[in-house]
Amino acid sequence: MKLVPLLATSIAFGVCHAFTIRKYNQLLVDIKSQKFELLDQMHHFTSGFKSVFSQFTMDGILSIRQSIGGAGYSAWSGLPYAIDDFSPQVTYEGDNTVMAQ
Amino acid sequence: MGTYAQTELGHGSDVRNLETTATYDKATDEFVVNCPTPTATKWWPGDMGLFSTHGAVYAQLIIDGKKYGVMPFMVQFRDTETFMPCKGVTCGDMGPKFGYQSKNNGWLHMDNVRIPRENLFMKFTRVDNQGNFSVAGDIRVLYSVMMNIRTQIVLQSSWGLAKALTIGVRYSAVRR
Repeated sequence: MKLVPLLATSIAFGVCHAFTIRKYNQLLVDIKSQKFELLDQMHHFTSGFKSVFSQFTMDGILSIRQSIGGAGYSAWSGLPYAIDDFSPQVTYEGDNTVMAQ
Repeated sequence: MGTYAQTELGHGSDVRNLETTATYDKATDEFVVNCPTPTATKWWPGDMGLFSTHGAVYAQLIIDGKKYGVMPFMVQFRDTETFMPCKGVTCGDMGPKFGYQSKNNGWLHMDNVRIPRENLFMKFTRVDNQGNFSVAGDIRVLYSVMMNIRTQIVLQSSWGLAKALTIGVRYSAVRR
């Protein structure tokens, strides 16, 4: 039962994105009228979410690859590429170790 | 093709201490963008490796010897016809990496590259032709572009997990 909690988490991340993008769009509207109050809040939400979510996803993809035996090891499963492609996300736009502080 | 040149060889998360400088030259009404040391070389800008012609360069704004903090400047790096580096620019490819091969990361070194004063992004911070600096609004807004990308990473986390799960769940459903 490795996969079901990950499935739930993936959906939860999607909901959090909807929340964050709504706040971000509000920030863009506010900035146009010289209102900057949301900057603080957005800094905390985006740094925290970015760090925790991308780390969880990186670990999650590795765990999925290991949960389906040799099939996940084969490049034909697509999982090795998924790991490669996701790997910079834990580093760029604020290294996760730094962002979580 | 544009890029975002913030991170330097010696400075990643420590944005406040970036070494690249943009010094205002009142005589010509220009900024002089310079990487004074090897560690000031811009490191990892996306699509800088082979083809970015312009970019937002984050540099320490200096007017009359006084530092005003890190600001974004529009700088041209390559000729738009030949894609050869402009005068004072040395740049190249970051070489092989772990993944994300579709992003052509590069490095960029600028040796006293001159740009017009108007190339400072002046929506929130301004420098007039007398070298007077002023802020319109909240200076922290300069950093909001990173919030945008981090918001995208939230979505990509959801998608990245969903994509791997599609593979894992389908396999688990048929495997006996």
